[in-house]
Amino acid sequence: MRAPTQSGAGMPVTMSDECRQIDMELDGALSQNASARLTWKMSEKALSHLTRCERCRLLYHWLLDGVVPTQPTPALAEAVRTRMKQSLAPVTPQSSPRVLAAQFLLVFLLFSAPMVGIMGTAGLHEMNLTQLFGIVTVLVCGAALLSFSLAWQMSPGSLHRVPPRIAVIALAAGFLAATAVLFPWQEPRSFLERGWSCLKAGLLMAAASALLFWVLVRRGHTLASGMMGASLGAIAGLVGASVLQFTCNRQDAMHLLVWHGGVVIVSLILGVAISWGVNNLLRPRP
Amino acid sequence: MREEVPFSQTHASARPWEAELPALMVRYQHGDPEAVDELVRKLSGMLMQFLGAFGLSRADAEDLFQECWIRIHNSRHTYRPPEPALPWIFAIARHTRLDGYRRRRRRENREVLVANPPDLAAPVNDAPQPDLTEFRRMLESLPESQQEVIFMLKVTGMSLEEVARATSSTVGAIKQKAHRAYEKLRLVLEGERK
Repeated sequence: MRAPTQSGAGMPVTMSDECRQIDMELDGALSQNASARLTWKMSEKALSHLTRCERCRLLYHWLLDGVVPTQPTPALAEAVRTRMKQSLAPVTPQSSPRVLAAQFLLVFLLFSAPMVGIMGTAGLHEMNLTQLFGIVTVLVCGAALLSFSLAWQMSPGSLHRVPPRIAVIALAAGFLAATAVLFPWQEPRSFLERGWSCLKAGLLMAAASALLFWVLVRRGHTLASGMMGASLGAIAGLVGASVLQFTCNRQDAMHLLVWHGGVVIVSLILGVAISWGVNNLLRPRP
Repeated sequence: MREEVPFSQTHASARPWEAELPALMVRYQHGDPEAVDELVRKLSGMLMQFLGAFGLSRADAEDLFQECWIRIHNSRHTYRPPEPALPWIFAIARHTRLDGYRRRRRRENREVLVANPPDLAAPVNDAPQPDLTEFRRMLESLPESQQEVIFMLKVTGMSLEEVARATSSTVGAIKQKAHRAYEKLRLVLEGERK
């Protein structure tokens, strides 16, 4: 009846199916809001299990017994209140994550499209329909994912459908896979020389677009500044890589991965470094 | 064996004021000073407990407490009514705590010798609070990420989705952490009984 499982510390734990049901019911209770909890009751089967299983009973009581909250000293609470009231100007609530994400996407498109117009469409003519469709899908999905990720990060307490790290990893994996599968692997000619000029152009565009993205981001609360820097760097780098995709006439896998993908990676690293620098070197310590 | 206590009885009073929080936050955003008083009164206990729950001295916990309220104040425009307010507050509190932890670690790495002895383990709660002491001791047996999840679920009474919001995570990940914590706690509780 009892199936051995592994605990977090790697120690063997024996848990019955009924123990698991207790866990599920506790999850169910903890998932409800305060008013729904008022009417919540454990099932008869689970209650009967509690009378037999000492461990579940202890866990149940430990989890559900009340804990007395600690209060700060009155002087400290008063100091906090006074400080808050000193700058209590009315504020307008920030836009919803959807609106913020749409703004990021709009900046992405409004920056990329004119740049492609200015720099030409040599890359577009080098791609066949499959390559065009595949890479555009990856770039658009990546831009949308990073836009939402930035918007969620700007809104404390919002539900992250995709964690920021996963968004960056998904973009990298998608770009890597699409490039490796869709584009030909050719003998590299003038690999460094041609690639270096692509990297420079891509980084310049990334830097310019990063300023625009920063204008949007600065109003939001940056909870994890490093992750925010990484996401901002990645989306700015993606602008550079997207423009290069349509303007560069070298459409072989190696060039795309190293030099166009490099724009995203270098931008991401710079984003983390800049946010770390701003956070640790420029901001005054409390 | 202790008598069974229904969840509704133990947690009905956990946060009966929760429903009022969004309206209070709106008044706060409109610049109402009375809303500040009420918010500080209602949330300070929970925040102080959360910030001091991970082996901090009282002085460090109080520093974080002040910093946390300043951050809440400076980012009050990022709250969107009628979204739940507790995940918003705890998302900020959590990052205040993490930033404080990083700062402390850097400081400890730099400062090998100190002129004055550090404020060693002066508990945040000086008054005798057996439930809380036991709670802390049990928490310390868990990895930090699980401690945080159990703390939010148990002390603040937040739901799984609210904890996911506060920790920028997913409901599935929170559920998994809670389950692992339950398993570990079962072992600890059983060990103690023996």
